[in-house]
Amino acid sequence: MLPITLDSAPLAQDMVVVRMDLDEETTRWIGSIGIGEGDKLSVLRKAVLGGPLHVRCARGGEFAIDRSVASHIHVRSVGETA
Amino acid sequence: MILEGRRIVLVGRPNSGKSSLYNALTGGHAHVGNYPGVTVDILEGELTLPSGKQATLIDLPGLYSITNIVDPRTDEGVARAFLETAKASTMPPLVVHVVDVTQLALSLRLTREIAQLGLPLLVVLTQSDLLDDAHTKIDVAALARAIEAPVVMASARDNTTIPALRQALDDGAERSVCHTFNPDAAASITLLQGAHRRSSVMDRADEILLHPIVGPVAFGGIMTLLFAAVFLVASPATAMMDALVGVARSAITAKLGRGLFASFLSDGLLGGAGTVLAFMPQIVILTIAMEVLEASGYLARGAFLTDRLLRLLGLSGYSFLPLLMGHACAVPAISSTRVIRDPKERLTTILILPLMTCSARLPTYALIVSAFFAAHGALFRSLIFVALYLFGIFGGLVASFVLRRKATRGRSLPLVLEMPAYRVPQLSVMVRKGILAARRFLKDVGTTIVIASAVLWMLLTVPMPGSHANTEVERSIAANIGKAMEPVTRPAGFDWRIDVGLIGSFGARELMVGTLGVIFGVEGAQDDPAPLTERLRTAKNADGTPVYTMATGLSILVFFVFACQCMSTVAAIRRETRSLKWPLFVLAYTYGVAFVCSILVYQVSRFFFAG
Repeated sequence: MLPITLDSAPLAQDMVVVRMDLDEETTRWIGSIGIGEGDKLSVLRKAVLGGPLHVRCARGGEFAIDRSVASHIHVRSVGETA
Repeated sequence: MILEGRRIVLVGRPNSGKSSLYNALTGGHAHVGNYPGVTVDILEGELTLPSGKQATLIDLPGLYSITNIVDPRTDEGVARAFLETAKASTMPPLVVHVVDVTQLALSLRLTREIAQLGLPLLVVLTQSDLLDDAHTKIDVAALARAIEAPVVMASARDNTTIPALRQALDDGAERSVCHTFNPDAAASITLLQGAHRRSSVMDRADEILLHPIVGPVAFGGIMTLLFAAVFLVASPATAMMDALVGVARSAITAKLGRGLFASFLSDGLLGGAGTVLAFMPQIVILTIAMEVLEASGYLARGAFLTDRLLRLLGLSGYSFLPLLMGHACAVPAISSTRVIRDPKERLTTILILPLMTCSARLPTYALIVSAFFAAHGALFRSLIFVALYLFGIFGGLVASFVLRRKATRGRSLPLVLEMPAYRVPQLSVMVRKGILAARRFLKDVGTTIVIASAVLWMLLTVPMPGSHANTEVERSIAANIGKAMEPVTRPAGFDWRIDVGLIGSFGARELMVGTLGVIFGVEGAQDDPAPLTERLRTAKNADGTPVYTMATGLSILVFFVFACQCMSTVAAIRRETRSLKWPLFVLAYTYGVAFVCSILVYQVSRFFFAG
């Protein structure tokens, strides 16, 4: 199954980041907080009217992430093969 | 081992508990909050180690990574620059990496980056009480072996852990040599059952507080309650203090008669500084309420809920914390804008912060609302208070909308903000914050306001040469200055007394009430001392008509909503923007908007209210 972007990921499902097509600065920034290729996470909720996502990282920590960033993070369900 | 340099630096991810440890170790009063990025300055305190040696403890702003590309003026940039300088030092400090154990694997990435700097390193594990399983075994020795650096566990909430931490600081560490450990592997051998923060209660709280409908409603309700409580809860305390000041003034008059010295004490000092003092309860209550919101972890939820709305206006959830903090005082709020990563958004937030209703406005708001809306119930008056807060927020958002399309046009960096675990606010911290706010306010009253009241009393007592006005007060220097301004300010409903008040409060808006207190005190020196609210309400012109009406009250309130009558704020804007242009811009636009809106409100409301 093809990867989907994080903003369209189903709620409360364990996902793994497979690719990010963000600029280098943003990629390093969110990588340092714990969201990079290979990292596992799940979307807990999505704010209304296109607001941010509430994401829990498997390594610990929860973050509010803007949808414009989430739409460039490609994920697939944990357990799915590429 | 030797502790080189006797400098100890606390480093860690934002909200990892550095500042709490700093306070526990130094007995200091660093601002502590449950929000990423609370420490925006480098703090230094003295520390006596168990061996009796003295050390300087330094608390750096939080950072996620040393290798991130960041604006050097943000909190992360400040921390990174400090570590780069320390690396080059011949006497490097001991770097204490404070690690939130619920994010161990992530935090150990930063540990590895610090190790790569080759600085002496000690790791302190905190927040173990937040682990989802209280019996999770934490193998401190295994971690120390994996990273080849000493590791201790400590918690600022548990005083019994502090002596061991002090001893570890005394023991110090060698320069780090282990640069290649795997953070995930090190975390997995340390936390034997895996670790996530305790989730069930927090998840349930988030389900309610971040619910798409209930969340925003609860947020609006909490804010309304907070602002209404500032008026409702503090009102009886304020009335009591006001009465005490009245009793003291009567006692002075009874004891010393109505001479010049008695007038100085009663009308000058007590009329000015004493009247302002009565508003201390409101400022203390607001400070404690803000502390509860911040320490509980709710503020990050506020940022989550408001991000979309703020984005429409050119800001983001990052701006939420500074804007909310601005409701206590704009000066620390301007410093806290360093949590905003985007320079243009940061500048916009700084420029609109003076419009947030800071606590220094409260005395004037309370005075005017009590004087002109006394006929209405306490609930109605508290709603006016809430409306004034909302008016300030609305003004700020409109200003942001305009600025982002003109002076600070440009893109905003998207929101990526940590959502901290909920915490029960510590009673001792709340009490300390309340006492600190009271002390600061008392110091302000005892110095600035006493001096300003004394100077004003003199200017209201010494006659202007060549003045032939009817009353003694109207012949004074201050009254003549006010009267010279009247032709300009009359359309806004201001007379010479209000004008003198506005001059007096140019540098600090809390001086308005004191200034009016002195003016009416000197003017009514022959009468029994009455509360200022009553004097404002009952002041009459020569023809018997009231000097001030509800329209005047509304006009003054609107002026105070918008005008940046605070030189400390202007100085903070100059410091943060490193330019003279932006503080002057703030003064010009806030005073311009304040005056135009006051005229509009006065002229329109005159049709609705008598006079």
